[in-house]
Amino acid sequence: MEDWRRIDIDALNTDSKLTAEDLKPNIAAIPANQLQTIQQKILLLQSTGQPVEALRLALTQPPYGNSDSEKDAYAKALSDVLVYNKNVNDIKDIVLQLDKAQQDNLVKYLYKIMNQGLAGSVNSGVILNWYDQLTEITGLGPVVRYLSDRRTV
Amino acid sequence: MSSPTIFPLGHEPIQDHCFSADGSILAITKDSNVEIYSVTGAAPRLLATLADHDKKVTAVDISLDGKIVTCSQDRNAIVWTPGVTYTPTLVLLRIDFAATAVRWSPSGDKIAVGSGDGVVAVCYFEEENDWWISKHIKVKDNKRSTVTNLEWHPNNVLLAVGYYDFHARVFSAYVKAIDARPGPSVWGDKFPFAAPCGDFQTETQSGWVHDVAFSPSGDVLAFVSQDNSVNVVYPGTAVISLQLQDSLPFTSVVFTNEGELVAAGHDCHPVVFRGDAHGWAKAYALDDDTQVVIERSEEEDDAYSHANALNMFKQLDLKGKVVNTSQNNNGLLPHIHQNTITRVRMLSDVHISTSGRDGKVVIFTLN
Repeated sequence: MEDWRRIDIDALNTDSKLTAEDLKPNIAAIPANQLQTIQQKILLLQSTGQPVEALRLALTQPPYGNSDSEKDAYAKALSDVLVYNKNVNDIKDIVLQLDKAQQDNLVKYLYKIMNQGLAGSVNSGVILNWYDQLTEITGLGPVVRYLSDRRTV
Repeated sequence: MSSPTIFPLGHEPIQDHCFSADGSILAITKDSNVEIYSVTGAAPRLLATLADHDKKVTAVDISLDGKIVTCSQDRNAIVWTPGVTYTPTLVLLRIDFAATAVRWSPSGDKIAVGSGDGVVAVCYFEEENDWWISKHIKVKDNKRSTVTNLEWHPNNVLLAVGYYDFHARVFSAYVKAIDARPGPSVWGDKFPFAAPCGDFQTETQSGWVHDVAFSPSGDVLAFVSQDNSVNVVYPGTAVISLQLQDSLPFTSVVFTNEGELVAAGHDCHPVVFRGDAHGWAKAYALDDDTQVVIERSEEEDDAYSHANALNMFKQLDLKGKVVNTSQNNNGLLPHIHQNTITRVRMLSDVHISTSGRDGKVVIFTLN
């Protein structure tokens, strides 16, 4: 019994196991054309100098239930807004104007952008600035929630 | 507020602790043993070490009449009857996985044990054979997700259970041979054994449930979860979910009265919340900024310099720089507990007790 930690205790049990799939909250996908419209609106708001409105729109109802490629496109639109706002004081102002749920969601996107291939087109320094300012204001709460949240972006 | 009473009980983590009803006996888990202390004198005195388990003990509880129940990762629960020594009686749990949580029912005639495959064993004493036998509560749609903690309703029948699958559930643990038929309550009208009486999730639908608690009347349920939230349930209405910002998740929760609860966990100090059916909010934090002044032995000095080094690496990791901690509270946290609080319990109307991974048990007085 030395190596008891390595015994496959599930081998003799026929019951089904809990899987990652079971933990996914049941959230309906946003229809593709609607998602497109939102993305265009986000970019439009940014280009007309309303980054707060752009982020509020983007972070209020993220496409939790959509496919990975749709999520990626959405994250790309959001990262475009983020990289336009490089100034640390601007970032602080914007973050302060978001509500708690939006701040939570912003953390998720910051991690996603840092994590995936968007890196090539995004200046990571800017994203880190966003992260720095955001956690300065919100504390670690949103980060802890990001780690356990199954509503992935 | 009088100052907290601190019991330093070694350096090993304490998974769970429990005081006897009169506050004279303290039981703590220590790896695969349970240690019993007399705490009536100036310093705690070790009375007995219960060493029958051969894997880590996960929980301990003491009934009103002084019987101790322990459960362990060795898949067993043992009832210890006090006398000249503590006499062990094995409980027939019939579970295949580690036992993770144990609680006496309020009247001390039943035991609920949670396990690693999501089964809750409700145990009661069978006179003829002189042993504890069990009936199982199993959730159909719960695919063997570990029970984190459980708590009895004051009516001795209902049971709240927290799971790793992000749900907190309420069941009936009605045993015909023992219980009088319970009257209708906010949780339902009829309570056949294992009947589901509630199923709750936090606002984020994510984060495993660390602990559950009933209010003294039993009409309100609270649970704390890994998504950094404190949740309060008034049956029939939406879950009140407090998503906390500048703190770490709570691992244990207990009601002090209908409108007040205490939660504690990875932040290493207890926090008091107050509210009613319309909403809850943080009231104040206990032990928020204690400057610890402790006379240390050489051995302890070692431990603290380790804590110091650990803090330095933590800061390097988080902030990329080191803030000089050596002058700042000797590199210690500004709390009495120097590591996660594993359990908070009610001791009296105005006292709570906490145990931590730093090997301390502390009694706090509420404001």
